[in-house]
Amino acid sequence: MSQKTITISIIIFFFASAVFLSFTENSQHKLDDQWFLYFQNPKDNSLNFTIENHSQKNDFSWQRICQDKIIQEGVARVKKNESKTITVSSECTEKNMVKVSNGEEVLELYKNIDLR
Amino acid sequence: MEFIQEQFLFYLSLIVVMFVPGFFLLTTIFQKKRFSQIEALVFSITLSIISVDFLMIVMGKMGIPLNFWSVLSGIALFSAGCFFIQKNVQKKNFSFEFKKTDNFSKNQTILIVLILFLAIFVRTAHLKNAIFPTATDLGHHMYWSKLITETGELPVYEKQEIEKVGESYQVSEPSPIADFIIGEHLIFAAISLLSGVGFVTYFPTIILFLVNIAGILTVFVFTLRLFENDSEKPTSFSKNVAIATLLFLGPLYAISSPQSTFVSGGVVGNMIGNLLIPSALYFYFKALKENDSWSLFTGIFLTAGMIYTHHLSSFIFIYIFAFIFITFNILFIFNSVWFSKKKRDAKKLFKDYSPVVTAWVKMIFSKNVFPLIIAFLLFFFFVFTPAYIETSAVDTAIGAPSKSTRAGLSLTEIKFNIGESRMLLATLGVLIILLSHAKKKDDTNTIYSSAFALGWFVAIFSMITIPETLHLNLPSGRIASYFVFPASVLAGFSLTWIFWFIKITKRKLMLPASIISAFFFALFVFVLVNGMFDNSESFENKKNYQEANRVYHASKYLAGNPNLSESDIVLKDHNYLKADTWMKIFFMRDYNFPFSRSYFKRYEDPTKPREMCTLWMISNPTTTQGEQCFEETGVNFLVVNPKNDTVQFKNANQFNKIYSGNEIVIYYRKN
Repeated sequence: MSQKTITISIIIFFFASAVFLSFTENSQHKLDDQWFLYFQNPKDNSLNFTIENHSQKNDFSWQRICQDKIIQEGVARVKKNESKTITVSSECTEKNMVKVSNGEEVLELYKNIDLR
Repeated sequence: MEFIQEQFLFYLSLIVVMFVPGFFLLTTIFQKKRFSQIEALVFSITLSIISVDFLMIVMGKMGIPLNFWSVLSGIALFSAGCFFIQKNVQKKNFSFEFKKTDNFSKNQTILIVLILFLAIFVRTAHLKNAIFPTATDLGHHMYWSKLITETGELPVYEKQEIEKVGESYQVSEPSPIADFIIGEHLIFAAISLLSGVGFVTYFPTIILFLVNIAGILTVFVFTLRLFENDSEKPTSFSKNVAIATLLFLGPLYAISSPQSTFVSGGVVGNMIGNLLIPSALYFYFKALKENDSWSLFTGIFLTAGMIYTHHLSSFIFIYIFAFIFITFNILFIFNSVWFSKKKRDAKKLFKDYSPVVTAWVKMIFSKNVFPLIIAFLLFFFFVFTPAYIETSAVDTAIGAPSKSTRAGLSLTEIKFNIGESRMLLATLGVLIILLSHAKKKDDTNTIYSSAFALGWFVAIFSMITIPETLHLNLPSGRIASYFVFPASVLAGFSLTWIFWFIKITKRKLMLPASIISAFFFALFVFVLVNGMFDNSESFENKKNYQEANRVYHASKYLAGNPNLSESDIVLKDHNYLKADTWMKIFFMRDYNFPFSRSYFKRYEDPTKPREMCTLWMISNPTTTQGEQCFEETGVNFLVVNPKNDTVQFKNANQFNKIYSGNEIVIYYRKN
């Protein structure tokens, strides 16, 4: 009887712990309080970029900068856990920079076009 | 809902892979009432691991693709085969009855359940912050397991490297790796194939957690058998020793290596080795004690499995085996000579020794064991030779220590490794056992018990204190992680022995009951405080999963980008990125892909000169050397932490910043 009690206890304790840890780990996979900025195509000259939002802030402002001059700007509303691709022109043949801000944090991307 | 379904499939696969084949094998090998329920549970797990390993190796070698249906059919056929043998060959009714003599008293049962609860609770509390897959070692191992599931074949352990040839650099052709062994990866591949659960999840850690718990329980049941011979002591003595050992391995020292830290750290080989070593010892001990060739068969089967799972564990096991043999002979000769009237009576010694050797030889050449040995040797040399044999890794493990970390540990370091109270009590345990042999003439089974307990302890103690004498060139700290189990057995023994000794001699000692109680209390507090303090020291509260999530996000961006091709080569930083070794699981292009800027100290190690390209391409990308490396290796994507690596790219026109996140950026260089 005691062996049975111990064996069943081991199985129950382990199972309970494994389920708890699995659910904990699964919840940890959610990106939290951060956002990402990236070019759709990293290799060509296109400057279309994506804002992927996993933060509480939904309003983003963006600027396209060529030779330190803002040549295009706009705002984008991206809900939490969603992403939005912004299509921009790429006529500037210099260092093309994209700066995006959520009001607190600024992220930037750039491509050096036709310089090499 | 999807996650709940995944969970259901995962636990179902866990039972199918890690319990069913072992249970059927155990019930086929052994007759009824040979094991208790706990033994049946833990040995079913151990035998399942080895059975599934061999099954998949054979299937892989036969050219059968390793996928859901083949693995499931393989396990089902194996289990059905065992069932058929039981029914038709052995004529057994399939009702596995358990040994009833191992029942514990009510108080002992409550204590064991409480210890087990605490053991699992402490580990769960630790793993809560470490369950997220970030560990370097686990990342390396899971690459190979995933490769098995993707290719359906046994993996070829090879990797590409950046190498210097003359004055230029290039990406090498794949070359063999000695560090990995097939048995470390098959079990994970089997569970993933059956359940469909991905590798960058909880599942590898849960498997290791189960292996850890099974290892502790194996030591528990082994201890129970080891000390049950002593006619001087009550029958509850061995049960109390096993409970005390469980205390030392369960809730106390639960987190430091080789326990929960190794679970979260993904030290796969060590973890499985620490399950297989006591399991194999259990069956060898049972074989010798009961003169049972089937137990020897099982011990050899488990040892064979160990050889295909972890080279360090196998290597240590050879030493343990040798020390047990030596200890047995010393104790046997001493026992025979010391209690003999004529002290130098060689005839008497021969007379005592010959039945023992005859029993060994009979068992080895029995119809059960000898064919297994031959089958294993044929399998080893002609079917599947482990990679570490082919790559001569064994040669590098033998010889004078080549580094200070291999030159052995001091007693203070050992004490730090296994805990003060455990070390103290284990040393006392050695003395008690040795002295007990000087007191009276013992039977062979008692000598076996002492030889197994002492040989296991002394072998590892010698390996970590005098490696040079033993011609060992292995990391002493790593070997020390194997010391915990035998030390716990002896600590459990001496703790129980002290209680027993004081109980039977308290009248002779004439000490007041209050002093005895105070002594017990102080001893108990010392053990508990020391063990729990070790837990608190090893506890990691740092939650680093968000940092790892960023790295996984960047990996998905690159690996899933349709604009990237096979010609694009990625280099990432290992110094400032969390969980970067897991990036390879998103690409699945090579074990070494993405290439890595390693720890800075490694580029400065004069004993091991290495290529510098991986350093220069991130640290000095615009220098002549850096430029040369990019041109010659074809590296064109760099993943770095902007907090540490930004300035060198900012004003370099050849780099485009194509991905940006908090503490992670990707640069693209047009080659």
